[in-house]
This record gives sequence, structure tokens and C-alpha cells, in this order.
Amino acid sequence: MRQDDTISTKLFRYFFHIRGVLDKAARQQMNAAISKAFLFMWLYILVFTGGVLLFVKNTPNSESWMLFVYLSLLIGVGGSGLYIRRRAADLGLDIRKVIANQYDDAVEDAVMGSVWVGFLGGVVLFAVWMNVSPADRPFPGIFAFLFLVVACVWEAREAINHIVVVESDVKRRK
Amino acid sequence: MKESFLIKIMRYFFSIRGVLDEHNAREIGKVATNAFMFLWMYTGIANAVFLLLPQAIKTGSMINGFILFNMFIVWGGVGLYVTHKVSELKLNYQEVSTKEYPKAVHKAVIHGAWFGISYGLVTYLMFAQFNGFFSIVSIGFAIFIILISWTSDTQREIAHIVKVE
Repeated sequence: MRQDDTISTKLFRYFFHIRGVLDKAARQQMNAAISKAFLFMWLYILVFTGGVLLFVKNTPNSESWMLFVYLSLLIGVGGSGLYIRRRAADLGLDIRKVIANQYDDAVEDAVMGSVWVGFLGGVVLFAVWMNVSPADRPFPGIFAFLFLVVACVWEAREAINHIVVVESDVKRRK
Repeated sequence: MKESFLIKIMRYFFSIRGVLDEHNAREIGKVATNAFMFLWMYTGIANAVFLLLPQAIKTGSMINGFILFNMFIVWGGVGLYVTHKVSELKLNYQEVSTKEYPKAVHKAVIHGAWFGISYGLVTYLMFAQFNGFFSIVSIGFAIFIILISWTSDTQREIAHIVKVE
């Protein structure tokens, strides 16, 4: 089933840690969740962008406009992303079942995947940090590095916690 | 099957009239996944890149352009993609009996009106940025777009109403 997945489904699995097999029931539930998340995001961006454009002339400087960008990231990307991850977790789709001798490979995969997701999350957090208070940002390089490390470690910890070792079929038959 | 409020809104916005059986629901799920992933990644990447740009080039007009571009991508790009896919799946056809036809036409006119008002509002907001909120050009062009969108959407909706015995 995984080989038939489209690129967007593969990206979806990767970013939202969906490791389990999407059977019919799980797929239906996830499709419903994705449809809701998509519509929320679509309407949110449209309504919010329209609202922002209405007040464009009254804003004294461009700095207050950055609020638009922060809210898009926080509510649009963060909110809908958290909702999908929560739904996947409710359905137990973020759990990866492996046999004992595959565990090391699964951990390595989890770390590699988390580095990318953590890196992207860290870059976004860093970008927000650099713009929130440009006047008093001490050691921006150190903060950027810290953001990246925390995001990567957090993601890796989450991914490894969801690896479950199961007995192989051969062992079970014995 | 009971549909959630958001799914009902999705049906309304993208003119999904047909019955969502297992096959159609799966196909719509695929379309929603594509659209959601694009929107999610685009919003994340575009906003992060925008934040990383040097402060000097983030002027009022630059931010204005960025916001308008977002609206263009979301409204035009993703909205059109979903509508096109729904049309490919022939889910925008509505089957009604002869008795129900006038009611369906009335609904199509109302749908067209909402469609026209939405497009007119977007056009007005875009033009108002350059000509001012009380400019005749902004208001006139918005009314023109409302009429065009209303007519074209109503015509399309009515063309997709099929009378069955």
C-alpha cells in the first residue's frame, strides 16, 4: 500500500509521523481530518488576508504587519499541523511496529527523519525569534543553534518513543 | 452518513453535489491531501522565508505584495485545483426531479451571488490598496466582477443540474 502513495501522501506521512499502515477505516478517518484541516486553513488564510488588506492603509509602520506572518505560522501551520498529529496519535498511526533485529534501523530512521523535521522547525522558530525583537537579540547564532538542537532532539525523542518492538511471526508460531 | 459542518462548507464552496460513496470519498480525500500539503508547506516556507529577508527590504508595499500573492495562490491556485478535480470526478452534477428543478435553480442563483460577492470583495480589497477605499475605479471594478462572477457561476451551476424522472 505504501508504494502506491502519492508524493503528497509520502510528505504527509513524513511530516506528521504516520508510520502505521493506513487500512480502510484509518484512511477514512484521516481523510476526514485532512479535509477539515484543509478547509480550515483555506478559509483562515482567505478571511485573515482579506481582513488584513482592509486595514492596510491605517497601519503606521511595516513592523506591525509582521503580526500577519506570525499568526499565519502559528495558527495556519502550527494549529492545523498539531490537529493532524493529534488525530494520527488518537488512531495510533504514529506507532511504528518493528521486530527486535529491526529496532536499530528504526531508531536510525527516526533520528534522520527528526533531524530534517527539527531543522525546518528550528529555522522557522529562528526566523520568528530574529524578527520579534531585533534590537535586543543577544548571540543570534547561539540561539539559532539552540533552537535547532532542541527541535531535533524533541522530534527524535518523540519518534523513538513511538517505536514498538513486536515478536516476529516465526517466533510467535513457535 | 452524517457529515460534519466543515465538510458541508466544503461541499458548498467547491460545488460538490454528488453522493460521496466509498470511491468518491477516497478520491476527494486524495485531492484534500494534495491541497492541504501544498497549502501547509507553502504557508510554512513562504512565511519563514519572508521573515528571514533583510529588514530593509520589508517595506509596506513589499508586505502588501506578499499578502496579495498569498491570496492569489490560496484563492486562485488551490481553490481552482480542488474545483477542477471535483469537476473531473463529475461530483458537481446535481440530479433533481422535474418538480424540484425550480428550487435547484433558485439555489444556484443564490450560490452564484455568494460566489460573485466573494470575488468582488477580493477585487475591491486589491484595487483599494492602489486607488483608495472610496475610489470610483475600485468600487466600479468590484461591481463589474460581482456581476461577471455571479452570472458565470450561476450559469455553470444551472448547467450542472440534471433532471431525472
